[in-house]
Amino acid sequence: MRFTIDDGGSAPIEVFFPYDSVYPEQVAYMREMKRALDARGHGAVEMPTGTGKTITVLSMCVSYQLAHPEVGKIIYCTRTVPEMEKVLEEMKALQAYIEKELGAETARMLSLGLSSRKNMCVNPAVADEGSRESVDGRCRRLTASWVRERRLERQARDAGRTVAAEDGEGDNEGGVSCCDWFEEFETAGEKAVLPPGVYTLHDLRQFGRAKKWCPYFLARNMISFANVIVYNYQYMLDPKVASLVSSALEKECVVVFDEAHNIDNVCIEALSVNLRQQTLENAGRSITSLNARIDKAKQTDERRLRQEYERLVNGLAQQGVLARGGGEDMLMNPVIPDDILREAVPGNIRRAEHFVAVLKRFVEYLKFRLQSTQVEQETPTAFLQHCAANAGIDGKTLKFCYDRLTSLLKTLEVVDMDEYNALSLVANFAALVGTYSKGFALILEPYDERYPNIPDPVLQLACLDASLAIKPVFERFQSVFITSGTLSPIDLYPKLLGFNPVCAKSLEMTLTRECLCPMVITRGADQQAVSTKFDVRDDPNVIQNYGRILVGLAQTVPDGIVAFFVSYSYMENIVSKWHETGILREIMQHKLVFIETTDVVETSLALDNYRRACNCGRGAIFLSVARGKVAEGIDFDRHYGRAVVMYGVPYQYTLSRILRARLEYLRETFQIKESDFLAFDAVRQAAQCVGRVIRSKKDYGLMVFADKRYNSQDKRGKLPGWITSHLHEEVLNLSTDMAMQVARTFMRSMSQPFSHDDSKKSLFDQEMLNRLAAEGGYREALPAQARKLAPEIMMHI
Amino acid sequence: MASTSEDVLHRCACASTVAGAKAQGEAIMRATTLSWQPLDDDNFTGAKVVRLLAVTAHQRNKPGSATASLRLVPENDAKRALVLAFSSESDRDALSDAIKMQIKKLEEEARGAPTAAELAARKELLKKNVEIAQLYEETVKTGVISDEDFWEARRNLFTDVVARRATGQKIGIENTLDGDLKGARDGMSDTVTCNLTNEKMHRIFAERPSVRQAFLDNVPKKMTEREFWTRFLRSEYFKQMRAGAPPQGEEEAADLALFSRKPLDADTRKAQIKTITPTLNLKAEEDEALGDGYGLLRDGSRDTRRPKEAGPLPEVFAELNHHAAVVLRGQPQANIVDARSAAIAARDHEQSAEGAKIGVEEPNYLIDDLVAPPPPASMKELNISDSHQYFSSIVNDMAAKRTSKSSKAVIEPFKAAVTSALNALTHPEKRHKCAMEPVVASEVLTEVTKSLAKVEDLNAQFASHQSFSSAEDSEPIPSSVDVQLSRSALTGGELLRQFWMSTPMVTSVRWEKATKVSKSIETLYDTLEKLKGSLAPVHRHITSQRLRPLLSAFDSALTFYDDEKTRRPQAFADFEKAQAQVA
Repeated sequence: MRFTIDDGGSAPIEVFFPYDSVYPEQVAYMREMKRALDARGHGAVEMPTGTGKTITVLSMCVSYQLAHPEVGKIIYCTRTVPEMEKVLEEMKALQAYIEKELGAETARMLSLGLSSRKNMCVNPAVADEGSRESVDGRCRRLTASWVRERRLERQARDAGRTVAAEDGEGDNEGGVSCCDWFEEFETAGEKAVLPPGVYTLHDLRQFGRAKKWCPYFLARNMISFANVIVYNYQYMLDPKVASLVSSALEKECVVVFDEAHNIDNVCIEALSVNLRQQTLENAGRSITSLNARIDKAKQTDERRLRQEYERLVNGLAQQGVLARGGGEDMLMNPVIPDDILREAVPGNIRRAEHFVAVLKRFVEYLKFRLQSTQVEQETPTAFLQHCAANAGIDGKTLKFCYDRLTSLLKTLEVVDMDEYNALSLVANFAALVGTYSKGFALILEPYDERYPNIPDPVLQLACLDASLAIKPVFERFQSVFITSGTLSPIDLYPKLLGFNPVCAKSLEMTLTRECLCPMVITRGADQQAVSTKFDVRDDPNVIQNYGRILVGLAQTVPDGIVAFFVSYSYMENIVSKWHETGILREIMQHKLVFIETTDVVETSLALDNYRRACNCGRGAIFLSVARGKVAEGIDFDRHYGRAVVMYGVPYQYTLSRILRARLEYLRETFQIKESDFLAFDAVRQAAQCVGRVIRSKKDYGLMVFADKRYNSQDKRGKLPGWITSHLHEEVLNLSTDMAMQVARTFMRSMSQPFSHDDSKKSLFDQEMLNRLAAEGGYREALPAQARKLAPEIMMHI
Repeated sequence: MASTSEDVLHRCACASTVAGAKAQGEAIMRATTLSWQPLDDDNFTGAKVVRLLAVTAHQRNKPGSATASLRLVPENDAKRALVLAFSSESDRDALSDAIKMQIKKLEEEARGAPTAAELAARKELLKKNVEIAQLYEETVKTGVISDEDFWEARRNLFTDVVARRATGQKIGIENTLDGDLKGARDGMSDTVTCNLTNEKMHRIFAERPSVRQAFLDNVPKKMTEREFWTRFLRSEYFKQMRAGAPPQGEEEAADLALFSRKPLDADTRKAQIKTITPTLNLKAEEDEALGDGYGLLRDGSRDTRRPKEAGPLPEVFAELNHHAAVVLRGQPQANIVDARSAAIAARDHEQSAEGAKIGVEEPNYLIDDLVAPPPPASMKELNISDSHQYFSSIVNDMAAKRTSKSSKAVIEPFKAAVTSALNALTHPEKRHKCAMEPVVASEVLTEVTKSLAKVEDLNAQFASHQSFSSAEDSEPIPSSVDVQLSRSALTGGELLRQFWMSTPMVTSVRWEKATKVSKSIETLYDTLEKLKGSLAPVHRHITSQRLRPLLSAFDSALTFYDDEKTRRPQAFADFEKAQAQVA
């Protein structure tokens, strides 16, 4: 359908929406977005899961882009790769609709997904490598510019001595082979373009295979021509990757972070580094081999080293030392301020051998620090002082370490970059610690808290300030949106991320029928309280009662059920107890049981089988972990999830040093109470987990919070509004048997036939929208219509 | 009753209870039944008969019991159970084995054969549809076409009936983790007894690929089957008894290692990753992340990195997902008769399940209630089942409207349009607007007009012909001939269908069928020719017109048959040889 969004501000926008009706929330959402887009500002909007966030955002942005060609690309950042695929599939539907409405010519748009080489490579010799690093390394070895130059040279030489080459010493240089796909892509040059359309990763790979062009580099190249780009958070947030991939994006782009409830954690991760014993040993080895290479280079090609020195005197950036093309790119500097690039590199690391000596000293110093037998925590300033005193390396030197290393590796024309991973990690660490004095903490732990007997020293540089990583995004792009089903309290996020949103809104859900049934189970049938509080979680009674809940649900609820546990170790514990006591057997009489394991392939296969079990009607239960991969990226909508159980409150491990440091930082900077933040963090995870079961208003699901602590106001109050509004007084303190009664009633009422006409109350169809528009725009028309439907829409009119 | 025509396959003296008292007698197994009758030949009181295929429970009592006995329950009805007592275990076992063998044989015979539901549906069809019944009479009953061929060609007529009637559902596998391998202690000695059935073995092999592999590798080359199972069950027993403690002794450790789960090899894993739908592929997600060292390690929010030191996962974790996959795979198609066939069936089933994942729906991203409900389904198109009736009714209508100038009505407007176009073309002022070269266009048009005239001529001829033939219609052909004609047309159609189904004639079986069918085609041909000859001239004319297409189809089939002889001399020679041998 097509309708206009008019908020009374600037020109109304005609929105193309690929469905026949629209939810009132979606219209409200679009109005919010339009307001922010018009004002060229940022926004944070919470919208209930299952009300079609993705398509709303895409529809609004693309329609806005059509109306205002001056708006740049739409960059849609997703949390996981499966979500990326989903977004692109929805984009396909939208694109098809716009093409139908406007004709294929006017609506020529290019949308594509981007991922790592590991997920995009089509060269079987490379793609079959095990890990991301080895694929990257293998790819560089084939595509780095100097490798290709060398090969061309050799080909020319071979062509020169045609017959002489036959005498046996033909290929002794380790076989400098090439990647056919990359070569074809290079040869095609300007002509290597993607025709307009929507490309998922699979589509890109297929296109690449058909044309024999490298899909990874093709996609990287096409970014500047694309209208919609869908990729992972880190391509935008992590400076190491972002400056490589996203540096060419123009200021006018619209950036959307979907499922952004965890965005602060992603930001923090992006600027954190941890060093283990093993890493340092590898780094030491890399230094030795680097020394050997320098010696060799000195003998054969000293000119190059001298040129590099000259360049370094003038600073890094101007000389194009860091400008990289082709396939040799490696991770970029982890530090954001780019002014350091214009400074001259300090004298003591300009010469290659001096720099390597400094690195060696630094690695030795770190090794020495790791030998400590007690936990140490200090600020970067203190660390630098200690380092200067004991190793004689100052902050400024460290700050340049990473770029100096990159420059050196490039000068030496190193191809097997993956051998230097550990060393570049150390340089990364050095650059970060040398640059930032605030918002970071250095924590040294000689062992894992959970296994105090096993020595496993780790030196972590933990970023505590989430705004550091995302700041450049807010500064650079004109509109940045943060959206999720769980952003409560909505005012906290701007604070944590340090930005000023034009719109910050929490939308409620309008429902024709009560298709959400949240409830809190506080006690078992034996009236004993259930909780995952540390002191009672291993109580056999609690475990037994938790098991009874699942047995009851397995008997009551049709099709799929998902259960989330607070942690792997707890799930491990409780499931083996259930196995021993026969509860698992009882559950399995009703449904098949699947479980999330640490092996992602097995988990993916289990998910696949889980869906099949639900499809064939046998019904299944998926046991999973809050904060795990499944909770983050997989939907359990429709019959894949008719009930979801959240066992316990998914608190972080509160004794973690990093968490403590972060809490302290939050208290000092934002005056956020520790317990408040912990509860907020736990509840947003819980809400995220239970929100996985709703896809649309036709869908329905039972949401069970199984912990007595959910009954208290400080937890309940932090749940998003669309859950709390259904959390009535009578379901706040249930025992298992009463809960099953509620569940039975709910399932019975939901299983009644539900026709499209019934849902008209919470839907706007074209006719309704036209009438509203005709009656003088939404501003005047909505209140009368929407008073009983969507108080939300009224509020901001 | 004892003197049934069927041969006695096995007989054995045994006792059963008659009216509460034990009576000596004799059990007699025939091809489909097992009967027991008391020794006293004249007294039939207490004689019992059990249909072998109806046996649902077949139980022998424990070896070493006071009396060896056998209990057979027909159709799950314990009240009708037949309990036989034997003087020795070997007698009992011999009869029991014979019964089992016979049941298996019967089941195998029944497998290829049509089910009862299908047979009933066929019978129903023959009763209801006279045409098919006639055809059946003429083709199958005369032995030209086999019964199966006939019904195979008409499967569509009764599949839904069969589906409705037959409970074609296969029985799935139970959800529960079948961990009952510990066996039972009798409490007196140190012996642990554990019973394995074929199904149980298959289940073990399906759930534990490593056990299956060990079986296929070692039995019977390195150890006997009995030895294998003893070792396996012992290993399982010890594993449970030790409850996580390390095994005692080398032998136990070796067994444990042999039967323990092995991680999948890299190729299988890679193949598995490829089958995962992109929206569930967490591996792709993992590949997106930067490597170790970046990010936080112990930040308290995740504990996904399970350290090796925490010990191995409880076994149930490793089992759950695999178990569920096995359950979803369902029962294998293959027939399981012993441990080896169970192992092979489990392996093949696993491999075929890898390839073809069923039950996975296309990912659907639609928000379903935003889509308008589909418009009501359009009317079903009229399906004419009896074409003869339909067309004869049309002919009647035509006869009624014979006076109307229907053909004229079609041609007149067209002609008018062409003429006006021709006029327009020749009109000098409008010339420049034409897309075609005017001269060429006018030529084309003239041509069209000429052929139009020809059509008109033909039309006139046709009309006259019709009036002529309709004059003939007034004197209809005798109804007996009419019936015979339509019947032979039906038979001819069926014969032709069967004939073309046997092409290309590459095997001697096909040759055999084709020869049989072509022979009856020839006979039919001759019959029809004779029939034609015997008719009055007026009728002969109409009959030959009616039969022309059928006869020409016969002709081409026969020609094809003769050609095929030269085209595939090898197969034909084989066939002739086979025929000669039979003769």
